[in-house]
Amino acid sequence: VLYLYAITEPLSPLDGVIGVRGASPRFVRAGGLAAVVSGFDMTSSELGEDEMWAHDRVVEAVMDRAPVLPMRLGSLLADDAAVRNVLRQRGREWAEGLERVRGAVELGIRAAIEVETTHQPPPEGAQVAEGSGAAYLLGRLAAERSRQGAARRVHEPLVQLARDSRVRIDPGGLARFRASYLVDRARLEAFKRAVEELRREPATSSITCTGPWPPYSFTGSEARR
Amino acid sequence: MTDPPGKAASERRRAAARTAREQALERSRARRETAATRRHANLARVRRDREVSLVDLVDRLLDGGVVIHGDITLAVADVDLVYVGLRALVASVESVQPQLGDSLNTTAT
Repeated sequence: VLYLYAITEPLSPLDGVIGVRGASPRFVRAGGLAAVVSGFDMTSSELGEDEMWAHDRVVEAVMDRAPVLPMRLGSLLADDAAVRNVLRQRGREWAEGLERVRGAVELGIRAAIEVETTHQPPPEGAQVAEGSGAAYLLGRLAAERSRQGAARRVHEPLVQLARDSRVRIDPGGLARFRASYLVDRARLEAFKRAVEELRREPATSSITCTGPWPPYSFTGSEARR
Repeated sequence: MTDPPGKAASERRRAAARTAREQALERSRARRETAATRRHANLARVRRDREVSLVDLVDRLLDGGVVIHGDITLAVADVDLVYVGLRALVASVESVQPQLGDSLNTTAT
């Protein structure tokens, strides 16, 4: 069984890169593309943190040399023939995907978004009793608006520097803003400066940035889990 | 009055579990540090908060990436098991993140 790390362009061998469970990754080529694979022993199929870092390490080694579409963790195929088959079947989709991410990396942003808890005045002329259902709904609406506003303050300066983005807001008292940005390597420094500016503002001071990552969130398969 | 033996045993089990959890976190922190030193590459790296990195890596490896529908893929149950196991770790990492962020901010260059 073969473990798959990524789809990329045909490259010379990856020397000295250690893959999942100590295996040496190699390329399987077909249809102008290459899959990065290594042998995988199914007798122990449980994947943990070590395997995750190994997967990422191999993908990053490829990313430093060519555009790359990382596989989701735990993608296995029977043998070289099966890999060549899937490379031919989905070659066009993946070739387009590689063009979309060429020259760019992914940056991860997290921020805890403070939601204002002060009561907003009810709309002009509306009679709203304190503690009523309407007051509750207005409070929820105000919190939602405040959350959206804070999310926009984080997102807008960053998305201007990005080729593409994915944003998630997990609701809660302290809502979590999570986003991925696909950023040209040439714009990394500008992106970093924009993050630092947001960190200096009280409303968005909780912002953290990780990366550069391989473009895990921009492979075109995100919705298929 | 002494506690009933069952209670003492469960105390011990809880303490052992706590120690095991702390050791697991410590090991994973050490691994991340090694991983971080390997991440030099030739790119200008944005400052990386290692604790957040693990959470971000898990998100990306389990929700992102190319999905293939081959004859053999790791049984979905296995991946879900990993996810459940890591959720616990991620939750503990996220809860320590505020203090950690502070200490990193003051020590980072």
